[in-house]
Amino acid sequence: MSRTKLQKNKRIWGQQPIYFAQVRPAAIHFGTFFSMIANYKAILVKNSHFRPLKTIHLLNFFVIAVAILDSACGAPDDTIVRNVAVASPGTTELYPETIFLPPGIGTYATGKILADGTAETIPCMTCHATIPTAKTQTNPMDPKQFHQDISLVHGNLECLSCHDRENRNALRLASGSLLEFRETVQLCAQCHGLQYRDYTHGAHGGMNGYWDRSTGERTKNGCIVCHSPHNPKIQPVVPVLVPNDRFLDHPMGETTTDSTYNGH
Amino acid sequence: MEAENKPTGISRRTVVKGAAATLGAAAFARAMAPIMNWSETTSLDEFVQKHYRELNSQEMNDVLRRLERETKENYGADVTINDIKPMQGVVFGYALNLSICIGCRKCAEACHKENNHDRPSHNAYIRVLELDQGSMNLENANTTYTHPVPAPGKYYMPVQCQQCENPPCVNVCPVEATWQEADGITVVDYNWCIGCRYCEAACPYHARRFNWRKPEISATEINPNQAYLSNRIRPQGVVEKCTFCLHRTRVGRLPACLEACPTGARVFGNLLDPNSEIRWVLENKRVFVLKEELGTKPRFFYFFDV
Ligand code: HEC
Ligand code: HEC
Ligand code: HEC
Ligand code: HEC
Repeated sequence: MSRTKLQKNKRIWGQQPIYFAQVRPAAIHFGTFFSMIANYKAILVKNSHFRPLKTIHLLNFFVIAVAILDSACGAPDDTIVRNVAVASPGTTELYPETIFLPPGIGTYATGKILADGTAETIPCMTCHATIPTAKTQTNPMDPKQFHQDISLVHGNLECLSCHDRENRNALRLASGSLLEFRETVQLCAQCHGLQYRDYTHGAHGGMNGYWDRSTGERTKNGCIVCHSPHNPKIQPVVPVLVPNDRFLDHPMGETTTDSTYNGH
Repeated sequence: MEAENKPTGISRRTVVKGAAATLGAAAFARAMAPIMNWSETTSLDEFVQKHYRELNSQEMNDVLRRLERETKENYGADVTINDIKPMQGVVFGYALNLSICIGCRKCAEACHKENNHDRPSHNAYIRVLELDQGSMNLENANTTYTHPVPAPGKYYMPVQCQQCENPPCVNVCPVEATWQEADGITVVDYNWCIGCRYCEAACPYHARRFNWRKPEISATEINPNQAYLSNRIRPQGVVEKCTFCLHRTRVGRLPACLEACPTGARVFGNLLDPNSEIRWVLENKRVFVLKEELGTKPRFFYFFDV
């Protein structure tokens, strides 16, 4: 990879970040557009004769008009995060961002442990191909005869909101189209747009590896690593590393001030 | 950004001389006693060592190798200590989603290990405050809870160094042993610090820690990937602080506390890169900073999902 050469161009030197501004692209573009028109009008009025418009001015109008159209049409500002390297044109190649999913996803664990120590898994259709769909319950919340370990606590969803009736080796989107188990992030995304948007911007779900993707790779967890699809609420945990620095028996003969915020 | 590398005006010895003149010999001897006691662990080389920013690369190299040797002698561990400079065009920012954090303290634990903190005291640069929902009263927070989290009616706020643009802790240091670097990280030269703890008192976020005693940590637990300005084992009697893990972040990696977070509440990145995750958060979430009224301009931001 020839990353090193252009790597530095990407960063903008000395530019102050806009910390708190809520940027609304369309509004800004409209603003720029009208202020430009106002400028030209002022020039025309003041000099009372036509200034020759230079190519650069025309170009400006063009660029801004395109930007307005673009943002007014509500073009999505981000697409799906996938297991591919995303390189911004003209700058630098970025290392890939991969989504981690448990290896056995979308298969059924028989409960047997194989000779190599891994759990035996079989495709769902091993059974479901022979179970006539008509015989399976339409929408059981708690399967009576099988999969008893699964109790669904997920809004008002039913098994077949996510699983396909015919092809149990695949998931099913609300549109009716099938989705591979490895694409489950897309399944969750259709109902949890806000979290998905945050996720694609690195603000939900966390990550591992490099913040600077021109230096190294990054891994994100798929939604189901943290949220069980059948019971997505995060379960309580016992906290680790209870601070005890306040009880330090130190050689200075005073108490430490480390009782921070506690008031005692 | 504003912290350029100006040479330091005051030397430790000037301060020591000044103190001697004011206090008188007897009082001075008493005041100096603790330093004299520490001299067992302070080598002569260390005592005559120059300020970090006055060391040329050869001298720096000598210092680093010496510190590695001393770690081997004192702790029995083979470590690598580097001097890692800020990346150009980078100013670090951190944001934390309070709607997501569950208060599990995994971040503090990761900090504890990554930064070679004293084991018995459970020291870490992060304190997680347990607060009542709807309240922002930091003074009444609980930091030593042990019940399962998240507890009903509570929310959790991890607090660490806010890497202020305007750091009150830097100005109060009488010997310029602490300063802000070009990437916004406030660092300490642990070999220059005289342990007066003014900075600790000046920090409105209680982000600094004092090494009351020689850190205890077993050789097998020592993180060998160290930097002079961050996670090398600190000497006794100096102040230490969070550096956003500069030994990781200055080579492009994420801080240890972010990687350890099992909930994904933390967002880190370059504030100067408009395409960074941190900029996206600042522009799309309603972020706030702690104690904004003090004018410290933290580069650590908090937000709630709405
Ligand atoms: C060992 C056989 C077996 C395997 C393997 C298996 N299933 Fe099933 N599954 C069943 C049976 C039997 C039922 C009917 C349960 C009932 O009616 O209560 C069922 C029911 C279901 C249901 C409830 C809806 C319905 O049709 O009644 C879903 C959803 C389902 N399975 C999904 C899966 C998925 C996804 C996999 C693969 C990960 C899988 N199953 C693997 C035997 C199996
Ligand atoms: C929100 C969508 C959703 C709903 C609703 C749902 N599932 Fe699933 N299910 C998934 C996803 C995604 C996976 C893949 C996760 C994995 O394999 O760990 C999965 C995996 C499975 C598996 C294989 C893994 C395991 O835990 O054994 C079975 C069996 C299964 N589902 C059965 C059911 C049954 C029965 C129901 C209804 C009670 C149901 N599912 C409802 C999304 C859903
Ligand atoms: C068909 C729509 C749909 C799909 C697909 C779906 N969800 Fe949900 N989800 C819901 C609904 C409805 C709720 C309940 C919302 C409420 O109670 O306000 C919910 C709630 C949740 C919650 C909050 C649970 C709580 O009690 O705090 C989480 C987390 C969640 N879903 C995660 C997921 C994940 C992960 C996936 C993908 C495996 C997913 N959802 C797929 C509709 C969906
Ligand atoms: C690193 C773990 C992690 C990953 C990965 C993750 N989440 Fe979450 N998510 C959380 C935590 C923690 C919460 C807060 C839950 C709580 O406080 O009970 C949460 C909350 C939610 C909620 C509930 C919000 C509410 O208001 O109750 C939804 C919905 C959700 N996540 C969906 C998703 C979706 C969709 C994905 C994948 C695109 C995803 N999550 C990936 C950890 C994760």
